[in-house]
Amino acid sequence: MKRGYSERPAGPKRILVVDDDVALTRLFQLNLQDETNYEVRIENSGRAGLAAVPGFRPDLILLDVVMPGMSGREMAAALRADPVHGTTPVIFVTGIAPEGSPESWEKQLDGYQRMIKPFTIASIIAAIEATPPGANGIPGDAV
Amino acid sequence: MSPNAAQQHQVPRILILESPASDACGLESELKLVQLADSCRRVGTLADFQAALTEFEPDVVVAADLPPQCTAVDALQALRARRGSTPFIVVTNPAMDCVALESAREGTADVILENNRSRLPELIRNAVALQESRKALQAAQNQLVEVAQMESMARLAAGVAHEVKNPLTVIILGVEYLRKHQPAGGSAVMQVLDDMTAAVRRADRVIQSMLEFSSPKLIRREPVQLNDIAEGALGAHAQDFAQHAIVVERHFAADLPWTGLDIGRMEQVFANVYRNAIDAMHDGGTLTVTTGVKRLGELARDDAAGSILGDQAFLALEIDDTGPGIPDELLPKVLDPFFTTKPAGHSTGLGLTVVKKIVDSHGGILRIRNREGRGVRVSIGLPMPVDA
Repeated sequence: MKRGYSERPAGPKRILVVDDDVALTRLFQLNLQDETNYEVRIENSGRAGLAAVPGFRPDLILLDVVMPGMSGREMAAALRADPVHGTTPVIFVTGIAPEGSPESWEKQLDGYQRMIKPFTIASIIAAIEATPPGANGIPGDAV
Repeated sequence: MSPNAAQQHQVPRILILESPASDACGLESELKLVQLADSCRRVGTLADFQAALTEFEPDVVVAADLPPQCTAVDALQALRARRGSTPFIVVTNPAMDCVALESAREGTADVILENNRSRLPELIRNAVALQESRKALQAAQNQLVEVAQMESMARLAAGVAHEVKNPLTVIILGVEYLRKHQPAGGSAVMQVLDDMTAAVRRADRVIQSMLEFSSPKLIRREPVQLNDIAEGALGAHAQDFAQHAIVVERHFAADLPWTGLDIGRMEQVFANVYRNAIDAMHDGGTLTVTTGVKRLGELARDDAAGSILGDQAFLALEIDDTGPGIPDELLPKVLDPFFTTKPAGHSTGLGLTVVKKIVDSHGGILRIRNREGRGVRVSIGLPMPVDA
């Protein structure tokens, strides 16, 4: 059986936004739903975001990096290990690169896309639209 | 021979304060016997002594056979006021100069006795060596303090950036939402929203500059042609050049070697320098970008570092503008963090500081000077590749 979304229901894109900043996620949801026909679900922790994936089955996850408890990197690593949802595209949204050199930054994120705060909603939408399914850096098995 | 080794083998400059009545077998004669007299100067009065401290800049002072009107205390006070911790050696008779002995006990001067002058050359060499060690230790301590401060600043900058960027994003997204939902007839409201957006962008630039300034010095080198980076940056600013009627002239050398540079950071260098040139030529002018290979002497004639770097070849980049230039009294400050000549809100004051940091990280040199006639020249020299 192929990994990924062989049985994803048709309809508007489903975007999961995970960030510990409540106001930020609320504005993400307002603006994205205003501008597009996306279905947007917001979660304010890495654990809640990970738990929401099986039920919500997002087409893409906008994921903050620095969060208390489970960080964005930890959530992405746990997601990648999931045999069903492991190829869900992720775009990191972050204010700053973590410690270390650019090489370690790339290594830490395993080649995930990232957008640096602050950004406009138009730029987020453009990034979402430009990211095909299963395009999180893992080759093959994309639907 | 390295600069430090050369310094160690240099003859120290010895200032001798000795009564004019001393006979020919004075200290200078004795020092000549041990090849220490080549850099000696002898003075006989306190006034001449004080003048020589400034003009001669001695490495060590030796006082002997002082007249009553010029005591060891007078000489020591004059020395400490002008030359700090320069070693001070008194040749004395304990029956005549108790104060000198007291100075020795306090550690402010070395004292040797008249009947033991043979120890003088050894004492001079030891005093100079100790002084050099103290200077080296102080320099190392200063460097450690600076590194610690920079690391602390980097952590602080990272923390501030992370904490501030989220609220900035909330504001940007909030403004976008309000812009779409503001009531009809709200042109003043739109202006307010535009002002808020501009303010957020400005705050973000400050944060980015602060992060760049305090980031680790690690760079990621890739083989690249300097001309390609220069041309790419010109393209990125083409709209600004056109908007301000700035003519761009290129003098790119055709045969530059491939060089390992951090492309992203070098792009930042060009962006910051071009930005300053654009601001200086707000109402038009000419930007000239020249690349080539130059000797240090051509690149930075007044560079004090030239004595250490010799006359090696550098990958040279020169960016000239035809703006009003920088007032001479402000030139030494242009690389200082947060220094700016622009109105509030127009500059973070970190642009050239970041340029210097990136150039230093590449092992290069940076010089900023006013051009003859009009405008500023920014000269950057980057080390040539080893196999060039």
